[in-house]
Amino acid sequence: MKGYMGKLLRVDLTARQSREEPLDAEAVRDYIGGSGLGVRLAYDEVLPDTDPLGAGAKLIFMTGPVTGTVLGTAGRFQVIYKSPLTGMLCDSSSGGHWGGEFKQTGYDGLILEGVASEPVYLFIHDEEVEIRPAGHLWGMDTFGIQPLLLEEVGEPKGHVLAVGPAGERGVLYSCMVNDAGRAPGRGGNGAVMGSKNVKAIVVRGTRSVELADEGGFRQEALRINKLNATDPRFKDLRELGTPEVMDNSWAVGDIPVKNWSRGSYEEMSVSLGGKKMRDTILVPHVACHYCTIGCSRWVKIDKGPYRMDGPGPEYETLGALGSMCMIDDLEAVSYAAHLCNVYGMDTISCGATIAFAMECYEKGLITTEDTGGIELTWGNKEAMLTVVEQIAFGQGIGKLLGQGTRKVAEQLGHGSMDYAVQVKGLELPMHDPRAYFSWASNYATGPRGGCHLHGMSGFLENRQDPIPEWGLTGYFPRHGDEDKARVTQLAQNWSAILSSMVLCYFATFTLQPSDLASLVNKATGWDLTSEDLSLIGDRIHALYRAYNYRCGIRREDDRLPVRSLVPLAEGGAAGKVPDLERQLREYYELRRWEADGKPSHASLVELGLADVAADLYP
Amino acid sequence: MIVRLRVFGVISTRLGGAKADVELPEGAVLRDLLDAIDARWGATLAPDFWEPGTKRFKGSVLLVSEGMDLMDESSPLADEQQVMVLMPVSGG
Repeated sequence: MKGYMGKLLRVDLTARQSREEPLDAEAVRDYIGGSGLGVRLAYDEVLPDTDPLGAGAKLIFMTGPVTGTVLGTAGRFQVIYKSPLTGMLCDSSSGGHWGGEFKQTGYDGLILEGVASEPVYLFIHDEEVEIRPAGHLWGMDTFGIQPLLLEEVGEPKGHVLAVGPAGERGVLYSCMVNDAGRAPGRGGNGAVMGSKNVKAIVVRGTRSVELADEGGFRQEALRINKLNATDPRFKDLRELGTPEVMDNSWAVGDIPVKNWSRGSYEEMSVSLGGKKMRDTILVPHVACHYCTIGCSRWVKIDKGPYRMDGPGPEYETLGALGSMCMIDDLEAVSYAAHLCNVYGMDTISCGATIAFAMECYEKGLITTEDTGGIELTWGNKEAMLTVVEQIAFGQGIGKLLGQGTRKVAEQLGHGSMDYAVQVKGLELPMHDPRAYFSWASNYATGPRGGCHLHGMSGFLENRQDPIPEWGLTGYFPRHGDEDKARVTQLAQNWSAILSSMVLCYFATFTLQPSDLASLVNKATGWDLTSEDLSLIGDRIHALYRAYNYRCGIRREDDRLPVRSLVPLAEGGAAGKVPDLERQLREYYELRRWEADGKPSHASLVELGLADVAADLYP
Repeated sequence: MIVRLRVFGVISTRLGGAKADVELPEGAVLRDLLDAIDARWGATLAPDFWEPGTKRFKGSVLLVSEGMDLMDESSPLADEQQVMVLMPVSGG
């Protein structure tokens, strides 16, 4: 099976046993790998009523057919699990080097099941698996543990994936962190791993991936690497990282401010932007595995209260912990991001929950009695930092806020759900559906909830002929609902393919589906076409939806938070509101979903999911 | 009349700065502005960000003024009007 190691590793933590299983060749053809194959495995193995933090939950780590090759951005991995934050299936992706190293241990994927009776860590090296005690590591942060573990296993070239205090304590948006600051951030995978008493997974591999057409693949990969290195659209991204978005997207009203209640705020955005970072705290950095885009940041703050030396905040982080909370101090926000990294928490959900709490405080739903005296006012950076700590360690008001906006709003009541800006429990990313209308249907139907990565639809707007190979030609003005359902559908399919090949989403800027098909074919020896990839994307999305339908997700859950549909008074999205109902109506037709949100029997059968159709239509 | 361009990101490096004034005849519309941009910067913007044939920006470059996207080439422009030129890229 070229392009793959041909094996999965299954670890039963309860029994402290592991075994190898052959990779299902047919399933690989149907789902490619990564999140697609992971969703299939989850559908088959994890019952919809499984407690995400219980013994029946599983953590599925997957790579893809190009992982670990010389192709830039191909050092990633996906992790698939039932989310404790949303109660649905979730998959999340991380960059860095851990994914490529894991595949070189000899496996395409890892399934963790059961619960260890005491804290453990896994050491996987060239088809050898050791389950080692981790009592002495429990409580450590995700950065400090890295050199210690590499020394302990005697593999300085290994890579570490770990949970921090937040994952150990079950913070519902805690995450794993690998390679000092890369993270599959969303949906609470840290809590799932912590609930299994697994502190870390160390990998070291020397196996190489055999490709069907080594020379052809290398030539194609180097062509793409060169394309990414020279494309002028990546110039700012390379120089400033994703914080460059802060420097300009305020002009189009895409950056949420004050818990999504205020329009563009130029001064605040620029204060948190890439240029400010470059001119003050940015230091030289290394890119992810073979990546020639090189968007990752490193910042160093030598003096003052926010001293740190670590990964720089991404755009999403600057929005969530910065403009959402009305905090314009770049050093304070960078430090807050650093805390989230070392404690292992999703910066989007963390920042969004704190912004929500600030609004609740303003409205009197949370008082100083609840906060232990903390004045949770807009712009109070010290309060924000204290609360980040409290969330990570389950202290004070942090115990409540560690549950995310939806659960907090359910407990606070008094209409607070209207400004809990989440979809199906997942806090929205920092892109406003009032600025780019397709985000409306994309967030409402996103397979893991409110997410900009499972369908980067907004990035396809205002772009001529975004995916011509899939028939998405023309121009889609951002403030319009015409054809936005189709933009969303194809963007979601596109993302499903990227996350199944396990590539960075920035690849969409320079590549077309045929480029991806070419890579897969040269790696595997297959003969996939661009159209085949579209079909596979449809299949993955339908399967994801089917699982979530079985979790209880229905048409009425495909909604947007009230706050995100209130017109803004100022800025580049002022007065604009998408027609969500129209987009949803058209989206349901395109996807061929029933009125209650279930994929139709016929569509499932046509997508090769007859077994799923039998489950949904007994 | 003067239209004041405010240019962001990589586009500004092609235009030689973050700000530029463009002199247009009274009663000018968006098409006139695009023609002026073509005459002054078309060569440095093309081929990555400019289509010389249609004399329009390409890719996802937006022209935004007073909170509105400028799409209609017959849109009237006013003296001292600020027009922002940007190419939003995102992620993170």
